[in-house]
Amino acid sequence: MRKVDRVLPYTSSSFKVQQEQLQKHLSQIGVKLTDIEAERITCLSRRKYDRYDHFPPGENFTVRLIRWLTENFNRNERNDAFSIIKAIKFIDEYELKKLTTTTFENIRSEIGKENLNIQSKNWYSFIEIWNKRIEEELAKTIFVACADDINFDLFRRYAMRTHPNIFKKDNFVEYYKIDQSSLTDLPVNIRIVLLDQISASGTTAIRKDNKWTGKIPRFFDIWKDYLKDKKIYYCPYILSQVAHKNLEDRLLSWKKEEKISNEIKILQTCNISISPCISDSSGLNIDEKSNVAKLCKKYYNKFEEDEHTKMVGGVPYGYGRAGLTLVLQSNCPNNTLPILWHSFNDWYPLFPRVSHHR
Amino acid sequence: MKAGNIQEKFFLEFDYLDCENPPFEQKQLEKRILFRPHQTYSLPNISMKYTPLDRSSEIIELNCVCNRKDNTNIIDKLIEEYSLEENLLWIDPCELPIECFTSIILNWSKSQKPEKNNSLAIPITKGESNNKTSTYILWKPSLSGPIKRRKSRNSIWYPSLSRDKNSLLKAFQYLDPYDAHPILDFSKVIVQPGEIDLTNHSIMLEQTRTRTRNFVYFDYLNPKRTFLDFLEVLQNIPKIGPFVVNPTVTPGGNRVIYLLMAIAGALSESDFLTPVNEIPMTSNREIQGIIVLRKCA
Repeated sequence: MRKVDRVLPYTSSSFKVQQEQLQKHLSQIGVKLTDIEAERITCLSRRKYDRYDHFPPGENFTVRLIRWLTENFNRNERNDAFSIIKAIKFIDEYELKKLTTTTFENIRSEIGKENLNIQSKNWYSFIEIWNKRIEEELAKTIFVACADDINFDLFRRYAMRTHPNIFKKDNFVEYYKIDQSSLTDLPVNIRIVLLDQISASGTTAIRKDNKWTGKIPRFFDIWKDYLKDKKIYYCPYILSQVAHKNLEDRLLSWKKEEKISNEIKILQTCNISISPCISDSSGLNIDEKSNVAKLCKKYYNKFEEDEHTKMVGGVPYGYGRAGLTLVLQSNCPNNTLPILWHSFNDWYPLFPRVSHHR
Repeated sequence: MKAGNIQEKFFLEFDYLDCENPPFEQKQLEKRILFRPHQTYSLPNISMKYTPLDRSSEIIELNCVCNRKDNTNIIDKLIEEYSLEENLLWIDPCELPIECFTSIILNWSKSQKPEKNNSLAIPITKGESNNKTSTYILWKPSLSGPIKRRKSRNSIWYPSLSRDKNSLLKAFQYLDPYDAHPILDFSKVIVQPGEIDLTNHSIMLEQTRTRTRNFVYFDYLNPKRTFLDFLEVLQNIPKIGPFVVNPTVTPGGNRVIYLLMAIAGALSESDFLTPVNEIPMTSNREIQGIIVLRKCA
């Protein structure tokens, strides 16, 4: 009898088997995969994709991938559909935690670059005063959460651990929609930092429907006179190219129209671009002639629009034409190509999304 | 923060100035130390264009600390010879092999005259470090250069995943650590589709059975916290007693990350696993920032 080597889970032998199986299954449905590509996808599915929060227990990425390709696409389209998979940017919980702490460090570093008016020319005392001044400035900062999925608890604890005796608990406000009377409890401050998880089109942060709305205008409406002479920082952990431009344009118009005098600065932790599988050679625009763009358009008839998506003229390339292939472990943003996440009209989603907008 | 081998009443402070030109200048209190790397015994032919080294402060040329017969502390000798007190010593890491650089850092940290309060300023140029792919050797910095080490049964390995795939796999097979904490460049990981640094090393990660939670993310844009956290990790690993563990560092990637790992490894007296005479910074480019290491009472 032939001796069969035992394949143990979570070992290099099981990795090899999984890689071979992936290659074999994909080949059967018409997707060609090199050894290196198979190795990469297997690595990422084991380490990241399998942990997507909305996969039912016991189900894994590879099984969903095969179903997504076979149930949704014709055989001759599957290689193009698979090029989307090669461009996925998945942010897992460890990376999101790191994004949270990096956001705090970025804010600290930004304050360090401000003109802190240090007179000393002596290098030793300069550094001593500089460090002290940054801490004094941090103490005069209020951090406000604008979303519920930004690990705000971790942010607060990290700040208090790395800068003991600087912050009070009231330096950290858990949600921007607070009662006016609570504002009197806040420590003396000169700057307010608005923390957000992602701004991929800029629409949730600020937009003009009939009137200006979104998180930033709403924050100004609620906090009103309290914001007089304060510096405002809008700090999304992830900011797309599209959103950056929209935010800059809209903030300018809004400030002018509403006569807002506060200095508002956008300070993102990381930038994310239009996915390479759908962008043109400059990487700045969607190439509508690309095969992936054609697929997105072809199957957009399966997508059911709602009032939000109708308002922006449809979302075949993701909300606000962001053209992302971004997936967060906790959810898939609506700015990501809908063929990856929607489940309307029997479309089988690879990363099913839970909508915030209802 | 506790400092490795500095007398107890002194603390080590790490600061990072995110600028090309430091906002201070005191010619009398700043000295530029240029080391002749041991592999050449002459000053490297560097065009000293970048700003910190254009400062008009006094230049002191020294032979590399490596391969010296006497075991005296090179920084103490310098303090004595030039009557240095409260000086900022500019050290250019360009053209210095990693062995020399870490030994200089160790000399400074073990200086017997911390009360003289001489600090180190290390300019770092922009870009990726140069990583060799030749055979990896296990060594440890000492006052007089690198000492070869025999591999231990209890190694915890901190390899940078920015390094070459095949040479890192061979390094792992040689070291055979009982645990690995791979270092990933966070600013690259977070925007890079396909995650090349991670997937390049998938075989090694599977062979070491490294869990994803073991990954350590280094952010070169925020070096202070990255350095302090890493140094604390290395210092907290028991190096004496019943449960001896050998932390082993393989720096790589962005130049800031490379030097942070090297300095933390030197200060914590960890082992290094690198190719011989690897020179991480060879050319003068724009300055990314300046590290300042101080001993504070």
